[in-house]
Amino acid sequence: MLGMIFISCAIGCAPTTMATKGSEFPLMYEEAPTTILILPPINQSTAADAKEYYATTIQEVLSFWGYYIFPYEVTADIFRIEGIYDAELVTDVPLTKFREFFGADAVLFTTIKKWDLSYMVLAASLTVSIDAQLKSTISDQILWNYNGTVVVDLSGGNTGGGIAGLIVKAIVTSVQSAMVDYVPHSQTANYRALSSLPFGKYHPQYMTDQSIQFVDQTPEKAPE
Amino acid sequence: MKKRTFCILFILTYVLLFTFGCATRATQKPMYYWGDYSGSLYKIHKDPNKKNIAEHQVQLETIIKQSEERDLRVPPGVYGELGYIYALKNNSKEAVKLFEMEKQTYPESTIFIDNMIQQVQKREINE
Repeated sequence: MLGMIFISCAIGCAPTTMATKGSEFPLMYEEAPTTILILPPINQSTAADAKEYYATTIQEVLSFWGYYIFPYEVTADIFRIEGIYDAELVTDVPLTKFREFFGADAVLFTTIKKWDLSYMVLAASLTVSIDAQLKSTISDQILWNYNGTVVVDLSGGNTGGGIAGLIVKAIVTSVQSAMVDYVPHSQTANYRALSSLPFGKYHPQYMTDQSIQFVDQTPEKAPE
Repeated sequence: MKKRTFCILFILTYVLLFTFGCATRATQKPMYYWGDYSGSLYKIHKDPNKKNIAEHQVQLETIIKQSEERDLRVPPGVYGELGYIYALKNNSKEAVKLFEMEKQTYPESTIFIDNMIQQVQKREINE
């Protein structure tokens, strides 16, 4: 019983701040953007592949939030023709330009800070740290942002307990480290990073998700 | 005896709840069908050879076909991306047709799509 109390206290007293979509991102509900333009990411990680993994998985993942997403392959090609290779070069472009040419209500800027694979004997994980900002092309304001780290377990799910389970897990891990396909894991990382983004007009919960809670990762002063 | 009846009722409730839970889950339609879009796109980025490029185009066509069969809205950008592939192959007719489909499915893409159609037609006049 004492243990139970201790556990519930440990959970209850954990220093995580819960925030709601409505309280954190009120501008999303005020401006109600319907179209999002994804800009090529800035890759500050040591993994050369990180940009490709992000670029090839973000369109599909973001679409499930219910916004109109411009075809990344097409818009990235247009940027390439215009000599813009990553978001660093567009920071000087006035956001209204994206509204004029594409009809974009909002633009997604992403910086990949970290994209690390780590393999141990019994576990493998992918750590992705990104800074993402959704900026309005109408008001120039930041509508939504995310700064955080996502750790994706690559060990292949639960294989059961005991020594036998550990051995199976070790085999699964080594088999998976031989694979080069991290597309599904990048998708998982993107899904988690976007979790606090309010839903758009094609989502059934559009304009009704204000009270959905998420763990606030933005550093704030400790509550008294 | 009473205990047994209770036990049976308990199990029955569980079975019912389980069946109901599964049934509601099964009727929940996904928003979009994307097939292996991200996978085939990544292959092009890694190695843009003819085979990978052709496979990605097939993937886009499959997404459109499967979405129609499943009565789902074609995901945003798919008609547009396929239209762009045709535009690069100088098949303006097919490109414009697909661009129009994107606009019809997502009216908020109008500014972008009209710009794309204009580019394709401008090139046609110049040739």
